[in-house]
This record gives sequence, structure tokens and C-alpha cells, in this order.
Amino acid sequence: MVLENLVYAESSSPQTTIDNEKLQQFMGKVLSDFGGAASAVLVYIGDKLGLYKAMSDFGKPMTSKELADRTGTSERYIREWLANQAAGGYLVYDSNSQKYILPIEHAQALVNENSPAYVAGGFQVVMSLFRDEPKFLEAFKTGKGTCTQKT
Amino acid sequence: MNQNSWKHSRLVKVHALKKPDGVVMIVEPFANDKLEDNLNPIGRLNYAASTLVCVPASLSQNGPALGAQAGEPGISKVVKAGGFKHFRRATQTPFNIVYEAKA
Repeated sequence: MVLENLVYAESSSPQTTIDNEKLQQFMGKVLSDFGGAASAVLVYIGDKLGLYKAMSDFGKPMTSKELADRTGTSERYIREWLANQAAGGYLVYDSNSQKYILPIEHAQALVNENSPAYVAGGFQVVMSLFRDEPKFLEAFKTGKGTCTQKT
Repeated sequence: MNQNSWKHSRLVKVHALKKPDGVVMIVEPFANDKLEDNLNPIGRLNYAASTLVCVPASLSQNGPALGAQAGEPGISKVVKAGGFKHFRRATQTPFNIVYEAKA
């Protein structure tokens, strides 16, 4: 076994030239993950502040001011949130009217708690994972668990 | 720059003027001028950062809260309000735009 591994290691010289196409493909994937990860907190906020629900209840395209007024939130933050959500494909933006809509199908996933497609709560789980990051760092080193409760 | 207040823009000018013909290079997240042209993976990331970093940081300093996707018109406005007469887009990458400002 050891000998075989040695021969394999010697015969495969390390790759020195970078395939730019492969690099660009991977950068695209990382960018997508980056955008999804950073947007997760914004989806959570949309759920927590009832932004998706307000859009679903409104039932037609709305402006940032209309959404802010109906949810008791700051229009400046809502305007930026809406753009992020439209860029991620969660909302649809109409540039002529400068209004946003939550498609009814998306509302099943984000608002309708009785739908089998409802997944908004998943973002609460993701938030919880990020909050516990120091515990995970420690656990990876110690090999211990993360619960502090003694049995 | 998009996170800063007008006051900060003037502060940068003071530093630039320490040398004759001082130039300030400003690195900003890439953005197109129109919102609909930023609805892509890079815009998604930048709008998230803008909502959670840039806008709150600027508002904390009583700034204009331009957001990370202000684009050239927004940045130009802040820089010129800070007293810089010359402003131009020097170069760009898919992720950033570099602007040049002179007194």
C-alpha cells in the first residue's frame, strides 16, 4: 500500500498552470454562494418584520414607500432590501413603475404557513448556525460536543 | 466612500492637498447606474452588503446613505460636494470601479 502510494505521488507532478476557464467557473459559483449567504439574513429579516406577508397581502406591485408605511419600517432600508430581493429572484421588479411584487408561487414558500412548500423557517435555522460559530470552532478543535447542559 | 458622510469627503480633500496635484483614488463596489441593470449575482451580493453595512454606516454618521450601488452619479455627487473639482472613472473590474478625484 505504502509503496503504491509513493509511486503514484511520484508519477503525478503537481499542476502548475492555471486553467482560467475553470477558475472563472468556480469564481461564479463562489459569488453565487456569497450572495446567497449574505442574503440569508435579509430573507430572515423579511420574514421576521412581515415584509413578505405585507407584500402578499397587498397582492399587487408596490413601492418601497408603500411597503415601509405598511410595515412600520424605514423606507431607506426597505429600498435596499427590495433591490437585494429582486437581484436574488425572490421578488420581481418592474422598472417602468419602479414597483416590486412577490409572485404568488414565492408566497407559498415564504408566507403561506399551510403550504407544503413553506420554508421560511429554514432561515431561522441558518441564522442560528451562524450565531453558534464560536462553539463550532471550539468543537472542531476539541472534538467535544457543543451543548453546555450537563447530563 | 458610499458609507461616508459629506464631511468625510471634505476630510479626504485635506489629505489630498498635502501634496501639490494630490490625487485620491476611490475604490467602490461595481454598480451600473440603473437599478434594473444591477439585478444579477454581483448586484445581489452588493445590495446585501449595502443594506447591512453601507446604509447603516452612513446613517450612523448622518451621511446621505447612498448605498453600495449608488453608481457613478451618486459617488460623483458626494465627491464634488466635498470640494473636489475633477472626478472621473479611472478603471473598473467586474467587482469594483475605481474613481479618481482631484482638487
